Order: sequence, then structure tokens, then C-alpha cells
Amino acid sequence: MAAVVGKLATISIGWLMLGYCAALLPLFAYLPFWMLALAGLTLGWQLQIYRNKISAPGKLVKFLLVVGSVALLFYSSGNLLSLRGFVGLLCLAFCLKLLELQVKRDLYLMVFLGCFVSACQLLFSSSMSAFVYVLICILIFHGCLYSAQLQPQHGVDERQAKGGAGAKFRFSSSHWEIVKSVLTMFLQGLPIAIVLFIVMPRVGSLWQVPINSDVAKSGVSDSLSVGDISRLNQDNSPAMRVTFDDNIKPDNSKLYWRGIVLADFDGKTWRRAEKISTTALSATQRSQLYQFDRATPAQTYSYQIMLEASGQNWLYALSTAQVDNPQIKQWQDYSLTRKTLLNSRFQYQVRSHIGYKADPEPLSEAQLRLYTALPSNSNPRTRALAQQLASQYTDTGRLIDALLQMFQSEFSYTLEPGKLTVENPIDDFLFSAKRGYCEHFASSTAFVLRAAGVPARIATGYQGGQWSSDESYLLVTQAAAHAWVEVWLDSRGWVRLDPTTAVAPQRIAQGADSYLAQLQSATGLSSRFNQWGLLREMRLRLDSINYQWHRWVLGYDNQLQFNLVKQLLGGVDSWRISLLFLLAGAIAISPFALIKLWRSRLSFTDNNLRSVAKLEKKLLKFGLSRARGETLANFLQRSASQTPENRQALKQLSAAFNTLLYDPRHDSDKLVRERIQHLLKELKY
Amino acid sequence: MRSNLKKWLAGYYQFWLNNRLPAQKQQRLQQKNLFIFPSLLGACYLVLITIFWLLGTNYANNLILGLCYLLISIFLLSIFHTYLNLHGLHLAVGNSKPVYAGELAQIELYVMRRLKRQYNSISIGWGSSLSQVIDWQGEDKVLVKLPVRVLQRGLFQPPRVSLKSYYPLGLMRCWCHLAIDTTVLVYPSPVKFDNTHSSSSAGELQEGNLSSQIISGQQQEFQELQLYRNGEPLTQVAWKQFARSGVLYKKHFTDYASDSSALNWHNYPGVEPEMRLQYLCYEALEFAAQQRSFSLQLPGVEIAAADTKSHLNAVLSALALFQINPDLSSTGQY
Repeated sequence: MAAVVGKLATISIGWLMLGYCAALLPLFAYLPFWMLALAGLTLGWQLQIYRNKISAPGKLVKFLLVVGSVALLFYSSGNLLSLRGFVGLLCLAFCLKLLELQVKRDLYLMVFLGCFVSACQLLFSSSMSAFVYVLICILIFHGCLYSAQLQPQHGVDERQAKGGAGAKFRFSSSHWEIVKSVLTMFLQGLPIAIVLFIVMPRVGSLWQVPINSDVAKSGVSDSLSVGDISRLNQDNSPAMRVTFDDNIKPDNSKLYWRGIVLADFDGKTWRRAEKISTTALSATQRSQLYQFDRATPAQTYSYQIMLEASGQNWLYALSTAQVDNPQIKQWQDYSLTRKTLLNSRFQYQVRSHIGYKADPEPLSEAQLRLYTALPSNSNPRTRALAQQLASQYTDTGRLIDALLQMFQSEFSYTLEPGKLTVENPIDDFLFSAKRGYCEHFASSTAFVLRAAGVPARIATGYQGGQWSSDESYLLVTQAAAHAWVEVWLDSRGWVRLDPTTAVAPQRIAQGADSYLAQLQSATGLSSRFNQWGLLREMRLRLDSINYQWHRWVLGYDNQLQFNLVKQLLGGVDSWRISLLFLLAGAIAISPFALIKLWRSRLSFTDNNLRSVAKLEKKLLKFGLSRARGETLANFLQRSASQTPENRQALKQLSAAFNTLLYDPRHDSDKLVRERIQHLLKELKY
Repeated sequence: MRSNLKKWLAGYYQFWLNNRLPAQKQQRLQQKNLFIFPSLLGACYLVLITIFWLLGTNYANNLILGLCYLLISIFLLSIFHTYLNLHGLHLAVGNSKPVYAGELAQIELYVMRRLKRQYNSISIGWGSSLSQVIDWQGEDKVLVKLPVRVLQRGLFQPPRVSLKSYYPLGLMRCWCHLAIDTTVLVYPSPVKFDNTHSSSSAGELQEGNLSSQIISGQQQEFQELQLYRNGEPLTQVAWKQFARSGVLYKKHFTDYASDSSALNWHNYPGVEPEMRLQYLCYEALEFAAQQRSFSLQLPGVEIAAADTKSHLNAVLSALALFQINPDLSSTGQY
């Protein structure tokens, strides 16, 4: 236990304090603000204790500090059993333990706590930069462990030399030594860690843990109100990333990422219809989908979606989706939800059937009522318009065409439509404002259709996306949020109808990002978007790296592991897996083996052996070969007896080789080798 | 029962250790004689790794799992690093100076390292009480003096030397217990002869007023009884003893005034052998300090009178090794 008990060296304390600051700093964003003060207080206190300015706190002070801070934490975070409460407690322990830093055991405890605190950061942020930062923190703590193992007399000397006065953290050569050694260990450990990461099987959660439930709700909302937002903010944060199988790249106009279906309208706001969106997909619908999948695979896209944490549980997919994932539920309107809220990124595989006719058989009475229901007293002018159109066009297709025609000729697309009246917003939009974005058009179209007796509903989600710089995946940003209409047509079922295409066809063709950017720069909303091209390029590149990180590191799960192993080994049998483990072991060991080999190479005998090989090669031309186990001297003697004309030269060679190989003095090696070279040339055929 | 088992285990361990690592003049630290096992800190490190794994698994957080695997690989690597920190070192025995029993013997050991390699924080000492950290100070050969208290005269064989290292991270403990093939000559501790401590038979002799006589003007002191041989002066016959035993003894007197003094085993009749050796040792040192020549007579050992340094050494080693079986080594306390 000699290593556990002992005085602390200045160098160890310096490293520990560095690690202390580094580990806590990013966590303050998630912790109550007073913890920053507490951490600073304990750090300063310990520094003063170390410099012998004040004495270590007594038992009562420590007790009061612990009780007080835990109570404060309970007061400010409310629940100590939540993730934040748990991390808060951990940080509290880390801060307060610093005051007790006396012997090596305290230092070790601080180091372990520190490693744990640094890792907790990854519960909140999983970006690459956060990971690198945590790695640095852990490296510092290992440096602290390393410094504690350095020769103790160093520390004693230093401490005595400095006395109590100057406990400065000087950057001396020993610090470099520590950095170098620890970095070497980390670099050597990296291949083993990577192999372990790839190979080690993932076990699902062992028990329920408090999760980070404070994810801000983002993305498409579950209701749509017309006219209560006067200006749409452009949010370029990613919503999801999609990788299509087989490198298929569908047109932008086909990329309608359908999320929520809104069928319930109260005159102002579209909401989900409870009845539909809580009824699971019927067996008939399911079998129809399955049959379609078997019959026409050409009209099917297969792809993988990585959805950002939204705090909600909607999932998105192209047109009619088919999923095979026990975590995902599909409802009667073909919308998808996950069983639990998306508090972290979620990755799922979807097959979408583009040409699929959803519910082509006539709607039931109840469904018809639901999809044509409108509040009786709102928007009278729009109702009149709908009546007029209905009487004018008996064919629903022509009715829609007329409506779109109207939009195209009289309406314009804008991100700043201004507010609409509260009582009859659709009347206001259709007859006076005539400017708006997707929500206005979708909502008013659905209203008109319903008023004309045509079943219609609103679908919200995203439209379009940007291909990554290497075109391997599609990035969909929050700016691509979109709303459109689904209309039920006889014998065709539910058909997508996007009124925005009539007003702003480029919005659909080019995608939201570039179109909206043009729109903004044209109206002079923001001049910095003039350099948008370059910015966009950079953002896409960054996102590409990020995506690969998310996909291969964060999203590396059993499925991916299985696929990777299958791809690498051509199958997943037990013998192949054991082979992989062996291979992994070999890879991990190979650097050491190589170093060992490199060190043990015969540097001086190499040249001698080469000379022997040269001699043997030369004599082989005479038809003389050295027998197994025959000594060189014997061989040369035998050769001399068989080739009398070379007897003299071979005798001299024998003597020279004897000197070269067995003379303990190596100073004349070079001369002897030259002589052998010379003699070899003299051998005559 | 339990203590028996413990004893047996300890005995078996010593037997195994002696078989595996016999004593040698020069030792090279290698796979055969190095042991390595996680330290207490290493065990705690494993607990930390387990916590990381639980955290990473329960939160399905690949980054924390990645960190966990990195810590595992560092743990594994530290086995190599700690091992390599001792591997390849040479340990050679230096000259050990003789000591007096009860003093600290300084066992000199040379620790040599190969060039181009760094060896850090290696502690060296006896058994579990480790005393020194090897301080290389840029040298490739370091002299380490390990003190050990020796209680018995004779040839002292030091216990096994332990080298131990926790470097670089303290997660592993690498150590070796080497038997070094060296012996230290241990002289008897010098003790001044005090009459009051002498036994009854010597006292009886002194009672008979034989302790000092004046013969031919020189002060002589009674030393011991010797068998009387014909021709010797009758004045020296111990009549009292003759009356008691019927054997003629001659009273032998030592001549203090003479330059040549004899240290004799029989000078201290009735005294325990070990004590006699201690008295003789003291006398020898006294003579040497006064630079007088003296001789030594022990049963079976006789050293002629001289006053040189080597003579003193010869006398002292004769005292040290008197009736010592060279195969049996004495043990020290440390």
C-alpha cells in the first residue's frame, strides 16, 4: 500500500486542478449557476490551503457545506433522481472532495471522480468536438495519475524548495514528460479500443435510467393555425439525414417527408383527429401494402433516416411507408410514431411505395363525415366560393385544377405574410391578403375542398433536402418544413396535392433552402446571405463529417455491427466471430510485435549472412550446393576438392569467412568483407 | 489448524521461490523472475471501467462505451508498461564490508540499466518494507546500499531483495524477490570484560589471592590454570587445586608489561562461548587501537602475534567464524 498512502507532490496537485477546471467547465451549461461559484470557491480554498494560508476546513464546516449544497441542489433542480440531479450530485461530490485533498488516496478518488464527471458531459452532448474534449480531460486525469507515480523525492524537493509561498504550476520538462508518456499510452491504446468498439457486442439497457428529458421540442408541430405567425424564421439546423439504398437519388419534387396528418379543423387550427391517429393500421391495409411490395418493387425506395432529437415522437417517411421495427407504430392514416419520445437521435429503416394507392375503396360513412367536417359558422365567403366551384365542376379533378389556377394567377408566395384576422382567417387570406406560405395555401385548399364536399386532410412534414457534398446522403433542415393537402379521389384513394407548387414551383423544384435564400436576398432581408454559396458549401461539408460521425460512431448498434461483421466475414457463424476476435487480437498486438521484431533484428550479422548467401549463390553455378547441416568450412573444403582450379581461392575464402564470422573483434569486418568480395570474383568457371 | 495451514503455505512458498529463483551473483530481471498483478488502484480502475460500461450501456451511449474501451485498453497496456519498467535491469552484488553484530550491515548492490531506456520510480528494499527509490541521476549504473540489522556473528546471508514498481499509472504492481548470492562477515559485538560478571570458579581463584603476584618486579595477572609440566617452577603450582583434585595445575599469569599479548579463549573461564568471543573482540580492538601486537588462541585456531591491519582482520574473522558451520547462514532482523 506504499503507493496509496503518501504525501502529494505539487505537480500532481497542479494536474488535478487543471483537470478539475477542464472537466467541470462544459457542465456548467447544464447545472444551476451557483455550482460555478461553489466550484470556484473550493478551488480557491484548496489553493490557499495548499499554500498554507488557511487551514483545511473542520468537520462541522464540511458537514454544513455538504448539507447546504445538497439542499440547494434539491431546491434548484427539483428532482435529484433526474439525470440533471444525478450529474449535479456527482459534480457536488467532485467539488467538495477537493477540500479534502491530503494524501494520495484522495488524489486517486478525485481522478476517478473527474473521469466520471468528464464522461457525464457526453450524456448531454454527443458531438465529435465534445468527445475530443472529454478525451483531453481524461488524458489530463491520467497525467495526474502518472505524476503521482513519479519519483517521490522530486515532489519532496520541490515542496521544500518552494516552501509554502509559491505553489505555482510551472511548466517544466517533467510536464512534457508526462504529456508525452500519457499521449503515447493513449495512442497505443487507440487501436485496441477501436477493435473493442467494433467487436464487443452491445447489450441493451440493463435497467431504466433517468434520461435527459429536457430536450427542447423542435421540428414540425402537431397543429397548424393559419395566420398566427407573421413571419417564418429560417432555421438551418438539421432535422434529419437520409441515406438511400443502392445510391438512388429521387427528384426533389418527390421528396415529401410525410409526418403528421391533421384532419380535425375547428375554424382556426388543424389538429390530429383522435380517432384516426390512435387506430392502428388495419390488417387489410397491411396485407395490401405487403402485396404491393411483392408485386412492384420498382416503385419502392428503401432508405435509412436518422432523425434528430425532437422531443416528440413523430417519424417521417416518403409517401406510403412500410416499416419493420418493433419500436415503431403505424396508424390508419399511414403516419408513423415511435413508442417513446425522441430524446436522442433515432435511426430507422423504411421502405416507401411511391405509386401505392392508399385506401382506394370507398370511405366509410364515419370517415367521410370526418374528412369533410367543418365548423358551421366560419369563413362564409370561402364556403360560398366552394359552393360555386362545386356547382361549376362536378369532376373533382377539374375543381382542383380551377382552384390551383386561381392561386397561380392571383396569389404570391412570401415568408412575411403578416397576420390574418382571428375570426375568419381563410376568408381574409383568400380574398384580401393573397400572400402567404405553404401553411396558408394548404389550409385554405383543404377548407375549400371540404366545403365542396371532397374529403381532404392536411399532411405536414418536410419537403426536399440537400445532397451532401459527396452525394451520399440527403440533409433535411428545419427550414424545409412544409405542409400540403391530401385529397381522397374515387378509386385512386388518398392523393397528395401541394397547392404551393402552383404559386411557387421553384420552392418544390429547387428545395426550400436555395429558394428561400433567393427569396430572402431578393427582398434584402439579410445581406450576409449574398455569400450564401460558400457558406452553404462549408456547412454541407461540416455536416457530412458530422453525419458520418453520427451514423458510424453514435449510431453503431447491434444491427450495424451485425451487418459490418457479415460484410467483413461473409457470414455470422460462431467460428467466424471467434476468427474475428483472433484477428482483432492480432491487430492489437501487431504494433508491439513489430517493435519487438525491429529491435531484435540482427544488425551486424545481417551483412555477414548476406555474404554467405552470395557465396552459396556463386557456388551453385558450379553445381555445388550446401547440404543441410553442413558447416561452411566443410562445404568449402568439399567444393575445393571438386573444383581443383579454384582450390586456392576457396581455401582463402574459407579462412576469410572464419575470420568474419568467428573473430570476436569486429574492427576489421569491412576489410574482410571486401576481401571476400574480391575472392568471389576470382572464382573461375 | 488454520495457522498450521498458513505456516505450511508460507513454507511451501519459500520452497517454491527458492526453487524458482535461486540465489545468484548477478541477476537479470526478466519474465522468469518478475511478477505482475493489478494494484489496489488498478482494482479501483476496473470498478471505474465497470461504471463506465454500465453508464454507456444503459444510456445506449456509444461515446461513453468508447471511453470505456479506451480505459480497458489503457489498463491492458499498463501491464506492458509496468513490466517493461523493470524488465532488462541487471542486479549485481557489490562488496559488502564486515560489520559487528547488532549493527546495520550495508548490502551493496549495483543496479544497471540498458542504454536508451528509461526506468522510473523503482523502489528497492527488503520484503515488504521498501525503503529506497532508485535515483539514476543520468547514470546507467547505480550503487544501492541497503541497510539491514544483523544480530548474530558469523556469515550473514541477506534476505531476498525486492524491487517494485507501480510506474507509469499505478494500476499495476510489478515486483520481484531476488535472492542475492552474497554473504556479510559479522564480527561479534565488542564487549568489555567486567570482573563482576565473571563466574564463581574464576572468583574462587581470585579469592585465593592468586590474582596478582609480583614476580621479578613485573606485575602479572592471573589468567588461567594450565596443566603442570615437569621442570616448571613450583611457585606457580596451584596447590589448592591440587589438594582438591589431585592434579598438578600451574597458575598461568599474563604479563601486561610485555609488548606481545595473547588473546586466549581460556582467559575467561566459565564464561559462555559467545560472551568470550565478544570479550576477545573487544580486547583485539583495544590492542589494535594501541597499535600493540597480539596473538589469538582459540580451540583449533591459532594466529601468531602481529600488529598489522590485516592481522586484526584475520583475528576478527576468526572470532566471527569460530565454530560456525559455513553451510548454515544466520538470519538478520530488518
